[in-house]
Amino acid sequence: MYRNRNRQGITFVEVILAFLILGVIFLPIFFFLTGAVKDTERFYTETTAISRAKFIMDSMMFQIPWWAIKDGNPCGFTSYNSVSKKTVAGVSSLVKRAVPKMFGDGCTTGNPEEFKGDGLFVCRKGFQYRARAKVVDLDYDSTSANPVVFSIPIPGSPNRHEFQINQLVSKRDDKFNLIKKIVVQVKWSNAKNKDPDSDPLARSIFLVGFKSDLEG
Amino acid sequence: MKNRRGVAIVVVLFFAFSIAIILFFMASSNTNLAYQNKQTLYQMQAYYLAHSGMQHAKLQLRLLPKETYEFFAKSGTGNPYADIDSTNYPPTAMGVFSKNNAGYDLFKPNKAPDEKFPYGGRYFVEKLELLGSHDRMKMVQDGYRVVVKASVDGGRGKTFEEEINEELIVSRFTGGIK
Repeated sequence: MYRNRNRQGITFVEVILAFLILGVIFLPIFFFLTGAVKDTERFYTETTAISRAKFIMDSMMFQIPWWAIKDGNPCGFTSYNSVSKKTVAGVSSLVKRAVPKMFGDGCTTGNPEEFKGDGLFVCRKGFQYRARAKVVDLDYDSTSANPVVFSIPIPGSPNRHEFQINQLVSKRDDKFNLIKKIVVQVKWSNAKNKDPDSDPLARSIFLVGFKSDLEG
Repeated sequence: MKNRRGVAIVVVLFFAFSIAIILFFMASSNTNLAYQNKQTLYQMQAYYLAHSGMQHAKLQLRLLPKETYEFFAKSGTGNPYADIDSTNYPPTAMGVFSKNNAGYDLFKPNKAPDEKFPYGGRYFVEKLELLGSHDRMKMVQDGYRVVVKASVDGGRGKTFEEEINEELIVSRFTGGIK
């Protein structure tokens, strides 16, 4: 019987070939999409960490008074003014509200007027972050080998007005100090519900600032 | 009648091409996000260094308002605050990014010595100019413009810069700043 070889449609070989091509295409797509989801989470955690570090640094550089930040790793926050020898109510309420928001859980101490710059917080997606701030007093005694000097040239003279920190300020908390070095670190794990301290693959970002005593 | 053999392959190839384009844009979008996060961080680091420099300049203006005014009153030229440069003093000299900084970690003991920094950078006062003085009343005040620049070393030869330009009014005798 006569068979019409000029039929419309697709042949079995074409279908197999098409599936083969689709398979070859979809396999990397699958891997790509899986990777893309992980990447998106990675960028999300990084953005959250950057935003938290900025919040901490903004608060420390521009909002919390110079004297209320104590040196150390982690640093301390206090509302007790050692010069006026009293707790400052406005600073007390600022520190009590801001520091737990900055660092999360674990920043409290036994003293309700004192906090430490260290804590753990968990984002809405379940990733854990540790934030810590270290403060170093660049005071006259600890940097006496190479202290920060305040100097201005005198026009028409080779000399300069030159002042050491201890000539410009009186001792506060046993230190001649005008500048604090602040280092903020936010460390996080890209695995959900994992403490970055116990994750060897934890990532970190840093911010550095120098806060001058503009209040004294 | 037209011969339509092989049309399936053409359709599949078209489909594959479309998907490849979508994937390409998704990949470049992710690469962009990573790039933007890095840029944001470096720019933020430069931003805080610039503000550190501005606070340093304000501190000196508060401490030495009379000496600063006298510099300009005696026709001093140049930048009297050129000395405010983080590289001039070891406690503020952050240096440039190096592999030594890579191990810096506040959470590990001895991994964040007081004299070290987690990254390299610099701030300095580029310009200080006296805009005017006001001494007709009891308050003797001087107006200054301060320009501070900061840069952060992002490694691989990339530098991120920030500049702050502020006008300040300083009380010549008390050092109070507005």
